Amino acid sequence: MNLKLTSNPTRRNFLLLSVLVWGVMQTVGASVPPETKVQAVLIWGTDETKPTGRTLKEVDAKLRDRLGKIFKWQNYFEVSRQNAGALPGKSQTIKLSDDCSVDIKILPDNMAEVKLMGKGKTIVTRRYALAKQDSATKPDALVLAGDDKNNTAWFVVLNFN
Amino acid sequence: MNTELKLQALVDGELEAREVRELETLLAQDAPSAALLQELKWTRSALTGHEAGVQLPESREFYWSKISRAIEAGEKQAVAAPTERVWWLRFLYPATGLAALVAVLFVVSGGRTTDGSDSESVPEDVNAVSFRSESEKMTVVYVADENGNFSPVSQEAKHEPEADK
Repeated sequence: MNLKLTSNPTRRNFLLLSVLVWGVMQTVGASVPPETKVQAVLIWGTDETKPTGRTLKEVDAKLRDRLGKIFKWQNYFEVSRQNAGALPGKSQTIKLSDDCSVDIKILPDNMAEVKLMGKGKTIVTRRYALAKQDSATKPDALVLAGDDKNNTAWFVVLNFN
Repeated sequence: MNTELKLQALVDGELEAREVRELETLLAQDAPSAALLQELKWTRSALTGHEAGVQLPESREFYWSKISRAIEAGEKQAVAAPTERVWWLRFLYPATGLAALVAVLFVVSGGRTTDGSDSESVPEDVNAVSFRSESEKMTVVYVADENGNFSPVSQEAKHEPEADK
């Protein structure tokens, strides 16, 4: 029965075409460089109580504890959170607020170039070593931070996977 | 050594046995000195036993980064003192040669830093200090905009704390 099916020229051609398409897809898939996933969180640190702002929420307890052990502020509010994928050699822009975005470019040798942009101007450019491919440990979180008005502070926390 | 200093030395335990005996003989006859000794002992007890513990509200790394930023900002603001032309001219040519050598090495190394990994660059009007918290697995780059007009968090998002309502 199977022999009959494959001996049909139309079906045989269809099978050959399917195998060919599958092979091409596998080849293309193997040649596509792996995407680096990036999570960016914009956080506002303050000693004030929770504002009535519409979009603010407290950061999760784990991150709050980590930030609280390094910095002096009592409260940390999440202003925005974005996930993106960055391909090697291509710049990926993550917009976090009207005045703030992060440009991420994956460089050779497991490096990333992170540019914090504010009002169209580069605030800081950081070259950052990502974890080695064979390493089981996750890379550190990269925290770009600075003073804000009224003795508060802003934080951009970047996690790479 | 006058009596007051001897009493202070006695409280601090700095006198020899012979001097202690002499002083005790004196104290038995000198009521004001005995009172002063008692007061010194109380003061010492209050200072050593009830000193308030001081704890920084932030991590050591962040505290140090603030000091470092303040030093850098101070250095930037410091006006270069007018110096004699001859003084710096002597260093001009060696410095130029050194800068050229560094530039060549930088180009040859592909523009990477010496450790080949993490580094940051900022505009002239921005200071940045970076540090790593081993315990929290965080690398921090703390920037200070001298103009102080960069705030990624909009005013709309952080207005009106509940306490003010």
